[in-house]
Amino acid sequence: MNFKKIMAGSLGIVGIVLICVWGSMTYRINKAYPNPENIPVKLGERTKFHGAFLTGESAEVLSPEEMLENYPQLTDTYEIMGEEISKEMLQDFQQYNYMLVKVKLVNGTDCDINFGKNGDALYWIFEEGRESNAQEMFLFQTLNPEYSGSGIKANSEQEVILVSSIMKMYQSLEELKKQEIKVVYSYYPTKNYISILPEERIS
Amino acid sequence: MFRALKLELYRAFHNGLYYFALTVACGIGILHFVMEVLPRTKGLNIGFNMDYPYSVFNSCLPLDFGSFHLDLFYYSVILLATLPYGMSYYTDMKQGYIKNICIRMKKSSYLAAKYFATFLSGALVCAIPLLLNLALTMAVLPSLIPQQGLGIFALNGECMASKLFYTHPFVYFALYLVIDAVMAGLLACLALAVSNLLHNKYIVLFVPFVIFFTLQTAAVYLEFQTWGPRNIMNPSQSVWENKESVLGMITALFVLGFGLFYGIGRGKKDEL
Repeated sequence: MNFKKIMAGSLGIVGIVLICVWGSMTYRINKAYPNPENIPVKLGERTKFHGAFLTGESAEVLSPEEMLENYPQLTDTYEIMGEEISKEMLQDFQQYNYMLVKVKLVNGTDCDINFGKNGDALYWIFEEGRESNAQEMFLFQTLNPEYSGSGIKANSEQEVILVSSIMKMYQSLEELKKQEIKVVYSYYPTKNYISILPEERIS
Repeated sequence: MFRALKLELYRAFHNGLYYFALTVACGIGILHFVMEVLPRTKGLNIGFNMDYPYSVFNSCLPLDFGSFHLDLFYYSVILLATLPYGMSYYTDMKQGYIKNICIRMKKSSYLAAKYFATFLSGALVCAIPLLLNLALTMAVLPSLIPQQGLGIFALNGECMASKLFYTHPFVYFALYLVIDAVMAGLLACLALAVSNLLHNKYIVLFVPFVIFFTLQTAAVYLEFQTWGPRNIMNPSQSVWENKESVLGMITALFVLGFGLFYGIGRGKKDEL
């Protein structure tokens, strides 16, 4: 057997071994970290949430004008900031359309539940069609002045209005109204979200 | 034609410069793996439901947006793709090799084979390191499907083929592998096109890179960013691409490169 054949054979064997090692490593890492399973809940459907229950109650898609009309506390908050800031913020406010989802958290147990960071509704993300966005912190705080985020007391319930926006230049109000909206409250190890279909929304 | 192609492919892939270019390009891929991907294997266990472990699709070289290695690769790959066979037409003419070839086969066959071999060698110098980097990344990080809401993946909803990326990321990777390989191959072939016009082989070598850089700069300056070749090749889409500019640039490079090379090459008489 000549040298070239021995070299080619050896390289072939090394290649096969490397492919086997690569395959085994790839299989193991993907087994340890599998893709998250999608777990949607419908609007009105109750689901478990860190020891409490979570229900998506209602959802709205609003233009900025409708938003100010339906939630007058926003105008009041802007006005407190003074004329100049208020004007600037309102100009910025006009460039977006808004999505609002009202959720209810219920603790039916005799113990206080501390959600920690994992349960803070402020971190939940809106996905709509090809776009997605985090929540508007300022609007969230204005609409939920008493929300603490840390947990829920024994035998009590709490309503939270989740709010996110999308620039009009990316999606018009008409487009937005035709989209399914997902409010994602966990990405990993499972992807849990409230699925809101267009026909289920108030407007 | 087949004989010419066989000969040109043999010459393209059996030369030291091809292996050198491939080694350097793969080196960048391996460097990225060692410096950027391996450290991420320590951060896979997350304690927050709204977080997501590192995935192949935000860690492999072409999708690791903002990475130094990404820029290094996409700028150097044009030069590396030209290196193996871009200067060969120039040296064939200067050394008289073309005269010997043209008495044995049709010049048109030789030119077409030369173009194809240069294109293929350039395309592979671009594609192989990307595949190697992907394979290495896949061995240590999970291939978790991208999630658009997290902002840790390169593409947003306005990017070209973003839906494909968020549903079938491997297909998206393959699509961009083809775009990158074709762009690198076509740009390498521009060296052939200017071989008839220039008198220094090192200038011939640098022409594709200069054209690449000039087009990119002009595209940015004139605010036609989607037409910048660097932006077209970037799978992370720092500029939201569209089909028209990708297909338009590929067509323009082919028409310009092949038209000049074949047109001047066919017209030129090589005196025996």
